[in-house]
Amino acid sequence: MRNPNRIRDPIEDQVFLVIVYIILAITVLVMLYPFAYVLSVSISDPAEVMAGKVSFFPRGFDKGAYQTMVNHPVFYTAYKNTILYTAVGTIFTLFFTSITAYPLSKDKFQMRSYIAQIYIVTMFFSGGMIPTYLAFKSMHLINTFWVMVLPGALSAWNVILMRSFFRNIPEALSESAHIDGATNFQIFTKIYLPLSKPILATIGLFTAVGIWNGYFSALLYLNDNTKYPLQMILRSILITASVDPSDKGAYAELTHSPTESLKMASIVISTLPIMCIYPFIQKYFVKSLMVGSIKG
Amino acid sequence: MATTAEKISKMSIFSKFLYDWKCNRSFLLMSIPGLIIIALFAYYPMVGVLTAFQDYSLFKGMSGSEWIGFDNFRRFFEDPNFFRIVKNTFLLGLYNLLWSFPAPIVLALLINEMVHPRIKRFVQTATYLPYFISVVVIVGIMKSMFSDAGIVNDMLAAVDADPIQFFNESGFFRSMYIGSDIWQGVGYSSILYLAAITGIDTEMYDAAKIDGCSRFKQIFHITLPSMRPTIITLFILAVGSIVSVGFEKILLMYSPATYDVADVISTYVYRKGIFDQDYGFSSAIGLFNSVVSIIFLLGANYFSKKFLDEGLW
Amino acid sequence: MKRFLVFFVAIIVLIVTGCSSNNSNNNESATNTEPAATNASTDADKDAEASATGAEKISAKPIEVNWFFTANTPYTGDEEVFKTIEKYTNIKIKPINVSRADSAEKINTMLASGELPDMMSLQGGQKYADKYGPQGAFLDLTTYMEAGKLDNMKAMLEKYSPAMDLTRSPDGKYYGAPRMYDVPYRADEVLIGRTDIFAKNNLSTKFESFDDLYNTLVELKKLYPDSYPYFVRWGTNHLIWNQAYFRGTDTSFHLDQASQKYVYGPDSQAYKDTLIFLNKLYSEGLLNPNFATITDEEWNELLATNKGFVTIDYPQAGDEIIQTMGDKTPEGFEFTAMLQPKYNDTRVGTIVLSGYYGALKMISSNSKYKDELVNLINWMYSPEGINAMQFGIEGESYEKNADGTVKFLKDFQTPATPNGTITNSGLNNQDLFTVVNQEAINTYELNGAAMKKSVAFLNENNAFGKATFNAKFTNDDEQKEYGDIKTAIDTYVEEASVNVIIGKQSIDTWDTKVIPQVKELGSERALELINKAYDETFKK
Repeated sequence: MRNPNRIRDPIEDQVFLVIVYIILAITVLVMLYPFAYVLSVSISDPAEVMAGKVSFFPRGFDKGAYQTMVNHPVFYTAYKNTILYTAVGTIFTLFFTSITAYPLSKDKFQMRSYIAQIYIVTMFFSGGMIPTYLAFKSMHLINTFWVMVLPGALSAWNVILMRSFFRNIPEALSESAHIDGATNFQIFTKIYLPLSKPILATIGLFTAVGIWNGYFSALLYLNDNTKYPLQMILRSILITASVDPSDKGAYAELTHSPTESLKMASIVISTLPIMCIYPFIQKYFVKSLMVGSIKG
Repeated sequence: MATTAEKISKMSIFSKFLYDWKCNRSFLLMSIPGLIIIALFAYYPMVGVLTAFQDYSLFKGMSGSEWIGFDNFRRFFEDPNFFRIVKNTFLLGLYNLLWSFPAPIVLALLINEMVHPRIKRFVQTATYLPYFISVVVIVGIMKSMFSDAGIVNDMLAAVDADPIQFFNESGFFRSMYIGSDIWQGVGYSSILYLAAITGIDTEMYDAAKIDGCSRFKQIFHITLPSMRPTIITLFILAVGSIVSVGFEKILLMYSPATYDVADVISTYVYRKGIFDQDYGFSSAIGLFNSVVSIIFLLGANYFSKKFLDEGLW
Repeated sequence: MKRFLVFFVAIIVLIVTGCSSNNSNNNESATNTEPAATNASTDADKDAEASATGAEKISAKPIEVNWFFTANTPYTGDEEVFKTIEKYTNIKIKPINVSRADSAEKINTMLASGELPDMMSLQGGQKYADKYGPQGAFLDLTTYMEAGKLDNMKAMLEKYSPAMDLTRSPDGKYYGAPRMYDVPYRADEVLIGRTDIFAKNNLSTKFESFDDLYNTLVELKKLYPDSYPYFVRWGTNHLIWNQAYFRGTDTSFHLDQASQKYVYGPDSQAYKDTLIFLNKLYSEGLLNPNFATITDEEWNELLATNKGFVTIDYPQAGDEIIQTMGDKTPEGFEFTAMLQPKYNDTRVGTIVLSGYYGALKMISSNSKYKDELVNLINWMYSPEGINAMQFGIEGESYEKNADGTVKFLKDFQTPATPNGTITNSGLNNQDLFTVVNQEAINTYELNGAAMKKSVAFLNENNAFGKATFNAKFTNDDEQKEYGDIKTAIDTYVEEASVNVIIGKQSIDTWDTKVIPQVKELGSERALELINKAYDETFKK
């Protein structure tokens, strides 16, 4: 961190600082405006929205859109499912990622680079949708809870991040523990994990976001409406299928498209909770800045 | 000690394994859960890549489908869309790299210059927020804001400019695709760079200040050079993924009027695989895409090692 | 390092081939026809027993089955329609459904698994039946039809020729039960517009020619300068296809009624005229420039705020928009059918539905309840089943008035009762029901004032056309070849057409560049294939 208490800055630096703040102010506006817009539309009168009168502040307060969402037949189940998948999936990810990254961070572990290669390959090759589906099916994972939390539990990218963090923990700490008779596993759980809260929080948060926003695995691997996560409901509201004119009779379903307010309300309801977690975890982010370099 | 380490590093993989089995057994054991997961969920499905060489039929399965060698690849190279989708994929990836790659570095540098911790934290929070929303939502918001009656065209009207059909003009497709990518990812990506910056020894700045080096100049003389390893690592990875532009966002954004710039390899694979059930063909294109990514990655790594002395491995 | 990687991959491959060979054995036994045949015979035995004990019920015992269909609202199984089915048939339905936009992924992965839900309703189901039926995915209904188990279905299909031919798969067997429109015609999309504005300004809604339509649009643009009088939702193909249809052509391969042969639409003067006309509308501000992306909501708004006057849509929309927009619609708002322009002095009949309509229901060949589901399907073609799927339980959900009209006893939301509190009954849901009859159309569609007026107007002017059906392939490889060529050509031509409409490409390039490219892509081969298929289906 730069020391803010410097005595006086030369004029050049002060001008520079002003420019920095202006650029960042514009950036923040651009970043936040769409959120304000979504929120405003969701609580505005649909008619005002349709007339294009809502650009920043809500017009004609109307909570109908939220009521419609709450009265949705499978809304609660879907919400509960999403929370469950996110919580369990995140815990699994943290477990597998940390236990994999720890040996890889140790220079004396000779197999380290070979194992790392195995992970790096997966960043570039994958089986494709149907083969993956068939593989999961042969493992009897289709339409189970596990298919939502296990397959994504380990990504090469997270392992690389975690390994870099571990490498920055001074080796002296584990050596002295070794001398005191601690096993490698004890060193991992008693020394490394407690020191790694920032990176655990960072990876945990982004994993949680990924699971929360994911729909594709639910679409492919789940058959039971009562197991669907929130994003499946959101998609049915937000995405209108395009029409093939030779597909006659497609009428009834297409015209009942939701209002803009309902779409935005569904966005707010489904996105807000995961965003609310962020401030609680942000303090760890500051610490995770200690990561130094991600290069191992 | 150094000589022992050297000796070990020259050993064959098998002896290395034996060495670890003797001295680092717990490390080997700890590696097992991860390897199981990756074997089951990443490598096992990868066997399906072989369908690229088959006239694959779902009901015959891989063992029953006919092997047809490189026919699927030949069909792809002879496909009238081949040149266009490869070009579009490459250009979209390249432009995305050109704009999306530097953006988080600049943001990290700017955030680092801030002197008020609370505002700094606020700015960080604000820039991370978009990362939390899904692609469907992003495209939904864009369609709403850039539509005929949307806020952007309202603003254009206010300055007497003609309204623009943003989603119908090929000229805007790439800008909107890349712009929204930056909007969503810049805050998240900047975390890694900020991390690199905090690792820099503050004494270096103090020394520079005594030498009369302005803050602006310090960026180029201290901060950026210190971020070099991080930048290079991420750059190599980004180059490797140049040809893997995601299809979901494009599917949501494109229309016939923008096919000439928007139709890419992955959208084509998707259409072929899902709507035409041409699985072998679709795997072949996917494999082609992966091989090109690997070539890019190896190439970037090679040049980086050769000219910058830094590489991924 | 590399060697190690190769070694690792080799191990994985070994393990996997070990597993998958087991796996493929399972698949084989599942798809092999022989064991299925023995199953059928034992089923038939059981059947004999069942009928011996006099059980004529759809399902003797209460059973629970999965039913896959597409619907944008997730169904839980507690909806009125499922209660009705259970009450009449003893079969409890466990719905599996995804939104229409996601259905292709879901169907394909389910097919890949070989473990299908007991019953599936698939939009475009004929394609799946033809392709996967012979491979053993779906129950072969032929034997059941021969055994008299599907008499209601058979009667319905025979009533509307060529429904039988269209339902039959290339291998001569029946794998699905099509949705049927048991009416001489049901209105589909028509030229429709703000008839109140037309009346106010003394404009005729019976277009004698495309020049007539053009002049009217110019007139409207003068009266409402900030409007784009002609506008269409649901994308470019929807816009172009309808305009081409009015001129007796199509955006792709289609049956030419005069010659009874398939021709390629865009290779005709009529199609070029379509593009020239749309380009003229576009460049003069008569066509809404957002035509590729207008959403339903924008479309509603354009209509209600006098920014769009003439469009192509379903006549039902005339009433629905009034419900949706409520008092936002201007005084006297009326949105009803118009007469589409004549081309070369001929007015093509509007599109109608009658008889066969794809959207097959199929039974999984792995289902435990094949006989019960066959009975269920047969029931859905029976008068009791048709009424149940449309109106619910008689005496509980609805009752018949003395004049035969339907009176609902529960507060369903329908076009007739837009404020009903039961929003998601599943009744009259096209993804669920199998047959629509006149009663259903009267109850659900011909209730609104605008719809009634549109249909009366079209009837008066003899505007309704006849239902048309596509040729059907009898050869799998030919179907695939045709499909590949058609997809490539359609994508290319749609793009070129849009470019002509928005002036990015000149119509002069049509004959010099576009059509040669279409030929290059194999249009002649495709025509050969589809004409062969047509002859095989309809001429024999």
